[in-house]
Amino acid sequence: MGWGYVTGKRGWEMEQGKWEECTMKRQLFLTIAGVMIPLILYICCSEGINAYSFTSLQHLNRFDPNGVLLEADGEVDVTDAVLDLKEKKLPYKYTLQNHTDLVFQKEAFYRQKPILLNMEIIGLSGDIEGGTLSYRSSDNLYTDRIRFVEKEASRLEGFTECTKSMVSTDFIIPCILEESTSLLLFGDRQPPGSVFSSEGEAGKMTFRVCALIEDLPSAAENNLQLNRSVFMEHGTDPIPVPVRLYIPDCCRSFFPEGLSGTVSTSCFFRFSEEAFAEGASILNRSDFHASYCCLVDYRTLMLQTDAYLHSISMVGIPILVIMVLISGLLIMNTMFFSIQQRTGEIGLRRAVGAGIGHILLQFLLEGLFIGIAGAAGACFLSGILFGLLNIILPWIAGMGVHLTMHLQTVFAVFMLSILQTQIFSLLPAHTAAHMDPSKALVI
Amino acid sequence: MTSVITLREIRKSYGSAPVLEDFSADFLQGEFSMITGGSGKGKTTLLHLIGLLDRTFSGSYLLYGEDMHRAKASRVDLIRNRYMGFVFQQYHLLPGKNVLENILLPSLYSHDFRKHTAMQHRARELIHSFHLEALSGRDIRTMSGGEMQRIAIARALLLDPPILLADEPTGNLDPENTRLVLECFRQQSDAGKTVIMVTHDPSVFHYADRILRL
Repeated sequence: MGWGYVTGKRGWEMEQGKWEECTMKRQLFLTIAGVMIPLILYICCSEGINAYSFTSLQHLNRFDPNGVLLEADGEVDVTDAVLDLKEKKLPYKYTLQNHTDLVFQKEAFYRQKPILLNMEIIGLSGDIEGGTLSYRSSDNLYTDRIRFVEKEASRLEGFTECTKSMVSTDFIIPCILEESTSLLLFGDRQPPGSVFSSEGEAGKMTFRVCALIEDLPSAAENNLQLNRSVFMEHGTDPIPVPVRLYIPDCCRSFFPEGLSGTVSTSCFFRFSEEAFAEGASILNRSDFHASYCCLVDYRTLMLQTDAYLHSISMVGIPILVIMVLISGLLIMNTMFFSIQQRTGEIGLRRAVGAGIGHILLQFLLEGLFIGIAGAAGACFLSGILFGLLNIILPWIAGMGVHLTMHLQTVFAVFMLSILQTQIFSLLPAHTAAHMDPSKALVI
Repeated sequence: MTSVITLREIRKSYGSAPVLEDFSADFLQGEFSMITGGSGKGKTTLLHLIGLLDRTFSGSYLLYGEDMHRAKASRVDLIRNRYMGFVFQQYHLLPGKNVLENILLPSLYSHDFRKHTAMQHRARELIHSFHLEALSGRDIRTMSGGEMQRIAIARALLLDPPILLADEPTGNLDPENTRLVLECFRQQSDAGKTVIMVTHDPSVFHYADRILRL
């Protein structure tokens, strides 16, 4: 049979009658295929993509559907804080027993027995809502992201003395730099991940840049101009530059007078509604401007993704309409061709008693068959296409997009196809039904 | 014998060209009539007119006393289904269907679905009568002219119509099959059916009770 069956080329076998049958079958094949194409487009562009998730957001969703993201400079930073917690699999209880010694006990399990470990606080950064706590036990250094509650915040006031021991300890403080400071320190080089040290009266402090933010307003309440020597990790010559760092409220009390500047808030996330409130409080701070950062929760991000996909659908709809019209004209043309080939049959049926309604119904049913066949083919091919995309996309783009096809979409596809074929079959069916039977029999 | 079809002053023209002018005739029950004439004389036109396939004519047409000129289209369709059987020169069999389905075609429009089983039984009787059992599994397009014409005649007789209309049924047949077809028509006529046949072959005139020349 081969390609000649589809193209109807004359090279293929030919008596006159078989040639006409071949052309008719080819026409029917092309018509059904033409019906399927817009239906596949409809499935893919409209409600075909109903369920999706991205790899990073999957992590959020796994732990807390109310995941919170803090975007700075348009970059999405997804913390793995919860993963860290899950990884360690240990419950944490922060009990400040002796704040003068800056030691607390941490509950842990050793050989399945609960024990208490004495931990020495060596670093604390964050804002009034929470931050990063660095502590150590013997030679083990830990860093946890923590949240402060109001009752505990008052205890922090007693840390003033302990701050001195803190600054003398060699540890790396994560920080966020303003863009202008980053430009001074690192030039065009991307600073996230880089380490720099700041040396001053209280000694050397080492910072690790974890993110950048736009320059904060100079009138920001907690913004201090520092005159400190700054040198890079690998021992370049000190560069006396004013370092602008953002100091959160809670950290101000950790440092004695004269020592200024420490880290700003780190990007931390807690996957809960409290976390969203924490992030919102950042935005509400006087030294934060809404244009510098934006706070996006998981639902908002999904709505944004929804809107994005919806816009794709809207672009696809005009194309779909045009393709439906074209395929409808193809259906009509095929039906007219069929009527022309079956004129004798129409005359015969009228001769044996078929009425106008019988002939009309016959050709409408044939159009219905074309519509159902086209819809079934479209759903089948779309299912295969979605299956292939679900396999390929994560592999190529690293994006865990999951395409599904809902029953409502399948139903809509069949209804659309049937409606289309019935509309475009009406004129041919009417022509056939009102054909003069005596002339039809003679032709 | 009773007049089944009464035609009076039938006129039919295609555009400005007249085909039938003041044609009048009576066709009686059980009569075998042949309509003959030269090419373009209106033989097929007259047959189609009698068979109510063409209703654009003037004059009087009475079928069992009922004026067919005033009959509704649905009534006419019913009459064609129940009262008339057609046999054509080109056979007009449906290629996508088997012998039984071709013969059962008139039953699709008989408006009486309770008789479906009876129709099946009747069709099988006709298959047996016309010796078509051996053809049941074959494609229609592979059959000879004589075989296809026998199927067409069986189809025309499915609902046992009182009127049989044939348009040059032996035009494409060999002499043997021609004889078989005409003998069949003769038998139907003897059984009381009104048979009207169009032909231009004088050699078959002797089968008819009456010859009408146009």
